[in-house]
Amino acid sequence: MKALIPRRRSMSAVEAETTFRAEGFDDRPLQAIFARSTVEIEQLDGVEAILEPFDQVAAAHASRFTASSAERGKWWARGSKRQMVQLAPILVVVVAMHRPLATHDVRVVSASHVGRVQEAHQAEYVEPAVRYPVLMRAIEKGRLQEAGRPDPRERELRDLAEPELLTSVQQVAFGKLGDPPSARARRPRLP
Amino acid sequence: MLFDEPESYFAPDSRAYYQQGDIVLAPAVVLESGDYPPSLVEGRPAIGESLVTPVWDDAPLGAEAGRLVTSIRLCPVAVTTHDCTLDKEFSRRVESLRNRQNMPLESARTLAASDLSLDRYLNVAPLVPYAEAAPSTPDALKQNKVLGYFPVCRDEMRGTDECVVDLLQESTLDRNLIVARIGIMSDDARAAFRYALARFWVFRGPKLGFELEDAIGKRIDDVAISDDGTLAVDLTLSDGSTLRFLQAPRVDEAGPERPGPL
Repeated sequence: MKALIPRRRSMSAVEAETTFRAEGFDDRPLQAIFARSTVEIEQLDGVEAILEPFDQVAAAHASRFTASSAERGKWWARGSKRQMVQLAPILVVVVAMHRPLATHDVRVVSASHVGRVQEAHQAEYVEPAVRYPVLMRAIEKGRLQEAGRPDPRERELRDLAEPELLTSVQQVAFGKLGDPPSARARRPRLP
Repeated sequence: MLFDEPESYFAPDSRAYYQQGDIVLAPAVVLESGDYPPSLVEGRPAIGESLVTPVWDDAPLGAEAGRLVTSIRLCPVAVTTHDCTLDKEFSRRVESLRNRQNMPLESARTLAASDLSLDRYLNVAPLVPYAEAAPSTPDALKQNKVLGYFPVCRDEMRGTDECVVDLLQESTLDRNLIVARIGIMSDDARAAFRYALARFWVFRGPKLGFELEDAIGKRIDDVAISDDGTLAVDLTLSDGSTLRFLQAPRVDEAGPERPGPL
């Protein structure tokens, strides 16, 4: 993992985009980011960066970003809330914050942030990247909002009777013969 | 095959109430011991991401259980609670309203359904990718052959990934925390799911009882002792079927033992 940390270098958003394209990466996500007129440029740690709320369309790009980059094996992505995509040796980090119902923030920061963000992320790292890609796509399409919750009025009256007693044969089978033999190792009894 | 075809695995979408086998989006929790750093997540965790929070540093009563942390993640989960339990308090309330207040059935149902405190809790088990069910192979998992897991059919339309329900991570959930319903299992899938639950929670071989029931009333035509190295007795029954009895393994033949608690 250490080897994937790019050299630290300040880079403007425009420079990052240029370098990004020069390296032959899929530039659609960055196009989606850079083409937006509402992009806010902020100064973070003395370097230029972009910080903006990200909409669902851009989030879809982020997913594609992940997939296409994975094929090249030149980047890695971890986590889902902070899905950090690091393009080595390009100095771009995309932080995608997947909210439960498809609202996203994407943050593009430059190189001087990479090491620090990565360290923080490793410390909190719990889950692998995008554990449920099909679910995420369904959410982005609004599928889950459509599915919604069941109507509580549609509850059924269930039988309140006690569960059926085991037949005598089952009692014999489960009570005396027990489970089939198992090759599983057994723990010792507690002292 | 049931686990490959969304049309077989899932029932049509419905507004009917939750039932066993529903796939919903909801939080699941695991209590862990260890020195996990507090999660840096702010606010709600994202889907699939664990929010790790320390609960206490020292175990109560001076025990050496260590630090307790909760690991919570919002993820797809399967409802494992049986339908009867999901509606237990509701059904009793309806019966009570009808018997004591002479209320018509539909009015009683509507009134009882509006009480969110009834049947508040249910059990759910999270869906995990195949890789987290290692060392089991994806093929074995997909065919429902691995104890403790139940395969979930991938369906782009519903948003279900190729996963397994991890029964070991079952947790208790307030149903008001369910974010959305993702899918409803078909009758066939629910039957298979219940079999997996029985196999995991109670018996490794629940079919043993059915085999014995089938054997009742049949004549034993032949008895043979196995010569394949296992101590087994095969009974050939009058309908040609065979019933095999195996000797339970001795403790010292059951494999390596783990050491006890330190």
